[in-house]
Amino acid sequence: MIEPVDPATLGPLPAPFWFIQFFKVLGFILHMVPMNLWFAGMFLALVLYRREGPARHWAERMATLMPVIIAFGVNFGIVPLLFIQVAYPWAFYPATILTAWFWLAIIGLLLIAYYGVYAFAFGVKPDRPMLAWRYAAGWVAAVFFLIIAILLSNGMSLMAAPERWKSIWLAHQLAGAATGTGHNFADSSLWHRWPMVLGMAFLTTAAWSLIDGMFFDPKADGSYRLWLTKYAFVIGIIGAIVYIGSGTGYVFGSWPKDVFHYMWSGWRLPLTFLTGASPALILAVLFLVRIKGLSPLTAILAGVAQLVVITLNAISRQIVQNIELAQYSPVWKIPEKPDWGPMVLFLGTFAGGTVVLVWMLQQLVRIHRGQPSVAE
Amino acid sequence: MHYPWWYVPVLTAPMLIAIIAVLHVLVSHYAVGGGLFFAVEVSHAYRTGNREYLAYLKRHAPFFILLTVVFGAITGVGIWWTIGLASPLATEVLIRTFVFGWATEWVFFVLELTSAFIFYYYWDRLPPRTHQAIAWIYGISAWMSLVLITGITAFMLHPGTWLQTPSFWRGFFNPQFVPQVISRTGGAILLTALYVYLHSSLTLPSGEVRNLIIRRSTRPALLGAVLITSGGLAWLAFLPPSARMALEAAAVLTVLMVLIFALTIVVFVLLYLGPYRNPGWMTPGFAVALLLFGLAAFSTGEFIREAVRKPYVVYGVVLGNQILEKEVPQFRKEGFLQSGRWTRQFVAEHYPQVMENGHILPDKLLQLSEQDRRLLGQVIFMHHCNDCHAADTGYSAVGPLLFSRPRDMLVEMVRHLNETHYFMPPWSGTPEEAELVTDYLLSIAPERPHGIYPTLEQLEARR
Repeated sequence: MIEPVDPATLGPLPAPFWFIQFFKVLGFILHMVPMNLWFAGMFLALVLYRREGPARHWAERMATLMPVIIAFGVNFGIVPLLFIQVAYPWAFYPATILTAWFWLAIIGLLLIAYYGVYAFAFGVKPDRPMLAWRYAAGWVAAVFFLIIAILLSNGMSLMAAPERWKSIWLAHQLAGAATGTGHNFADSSLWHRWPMVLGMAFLTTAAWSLIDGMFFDPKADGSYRLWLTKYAFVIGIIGAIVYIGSGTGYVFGSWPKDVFHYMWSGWRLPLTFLTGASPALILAVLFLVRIKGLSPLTAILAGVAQLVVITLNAISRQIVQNIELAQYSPVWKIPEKPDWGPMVLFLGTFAGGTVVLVWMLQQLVRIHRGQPSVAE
Repeated sequence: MHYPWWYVPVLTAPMLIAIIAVLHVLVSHYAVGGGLFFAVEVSHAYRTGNREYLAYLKRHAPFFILLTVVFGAITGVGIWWTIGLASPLATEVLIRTFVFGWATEWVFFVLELTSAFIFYYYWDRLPPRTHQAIAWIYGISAWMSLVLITGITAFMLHPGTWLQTPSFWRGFFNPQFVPQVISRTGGAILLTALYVYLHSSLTLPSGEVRNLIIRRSTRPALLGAVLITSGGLAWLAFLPPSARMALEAAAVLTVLMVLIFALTIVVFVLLYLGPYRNPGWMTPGFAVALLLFGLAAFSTGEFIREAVRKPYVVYGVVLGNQILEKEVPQFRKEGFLQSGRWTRQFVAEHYPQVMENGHILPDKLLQLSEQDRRLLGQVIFMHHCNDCHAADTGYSAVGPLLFSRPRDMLVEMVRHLNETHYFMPPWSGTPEEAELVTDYLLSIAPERPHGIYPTLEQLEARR
């Protein structure tokens, strides 16, 4: 293994570690929602676009929302990326440099995929068929999103596995300099994490479909909502099977012993159990919706349940990451020197920004309700 | 070296930053200036009840979004990606220092995105006053993101009193902050006018609306030009002394300074003669030419801004080769290979015979075979020099630069790098390591080409 880093030699953290972790996890949760939607939603939209009736309507709806979903997904991804680099630069940079070309490819693929999404979305016209190249561009985007997820997992799983760095580096170097062609594809945890995200993506798409059909879609009628209850249940089951299957493999097949013991003991035990079992919660709600029908209450329940699944996953992931990295440098031992002034600047802007955001969304709600805007 | 070095053949890794960054700024400035443009022009169109003008602005909006929200945003993330790969230590220093500056900028990004989408997707559905308010939210948020990121990038050129007393505020309000905010704001306004000329000339027939757009965009464009000039002069005045000297000492920078001066004059003259005096000249060809001149001036400016920092990435703090300035004495004492986490591991893995108790013994390095000395010399070259120099071919390749120099001269040059060229980093290794890197350099230096003036030894031999 590469020599561990003595945490005492690292520069002090500009904020308490709990604060960094909190915003890293919060940002990750915010990022997960839209990222899940483009990961599974794009693929499903392309498949269902070829059908008739409510399936086609769902596909059109998802397609037209997709540019906005991606914009926010990318934007929210900045937060965890920023705080990862604050907390673990000594792990993040080596892992991404060793896999540099794969890591950098994400940007090129994302750019192409994003324009592909726009080509697809702008081609959606209820009264006429889509041009073939636009549909093909949509498929390119969907496939690229799947590849991007693999490449991201490649970098992130390597970051959490310092014991693998040395062998990858020595196999991909020229005079000691990393050629950036290394990869972590041989790591079983990567092939468990990637489908876990895919399963989660199906679950999030199921929950989102219900919320959209209940609250946002102006064309949603009774028959469409009935179809949605079946549809959400089906993709929810698929998602839960994939998530639980790959998650089981991840926990029992690829967690190192120390991580396994740590996560299955003390106060982490209920958390680990709940994280693994949480898809049952959203499945139960989807089943309830299937039985009772789609209503504001059941739609909100579905959204909350999926948010719980994502949150538990994000918290557990954070704890596992800390333990995995502890072998290289115990993160909690890094000195802290909080910079309170700029922290207050950020929190103040965050609060002010939230107020402005709420005001803007309020205007949209008023439009949808047919009320005059506050500014009038 | 705290981190592994990424070897990018021919180009060198930092050049990837330059390529992506230039592509990004050409669009991100439009994202900022375009926000102000929409806020002002939509307000004007509503106030005057000019429906045709509003219709044009609505047509301009998807062009703006497709360029800025997609290309601008993704290349912005791309810069983050590449600086972490090609310049990890500098990125670490910047992020630790300015994490809350970046986090604050992110809040403005969220506002930008949300307002941009509402502004476009709810056009004709929002009441005019709300629509204008949303446009202003976008414009102000976009400009605030410019202000915040400029504080950080300007710090890289001149940290000011931060070097004596490190703190967020001292670093952020550095001597280069105001000049660069002024020039970037001007750049955003000017560049936006050039994009508007292009878009309107391509999408509108000549007539009243097109003339109105050209007329209304030209005054801000000229204002932008004035801001760029005044900000640029202040930038020059507040440069660290060594950076100012680099502008004169490095021939390429002198040429680029002349070029940017010429390009700026061309843009000014074209603005004055074209849209200001003769709006009818604004054909697609003229607009394309104007935009290309503007983009060329911008790219040149960005290149100069990056280049004058040499040998630093963060002035006075992080050297181009990813070493903290304060670490240099230790590197020179203990050895470059020994002091770098990854170079030390490389030696331990391949040459355990030169190590004792985890330390590399310098005199044993020179006892290695010629081939091994070259390889270790190449290791040093990769980690000490490859940030600015390709090896035998490519960007600023050292092979052609150093050809035919006698060994003794090369060794001395390596040991006195920053004295030979002050915009190079100081040599950060032992004398023995200088011998190794010279072995490597001699192995990649090309033959002395025919027709070039002979060496002193050759001349003496002829006598």
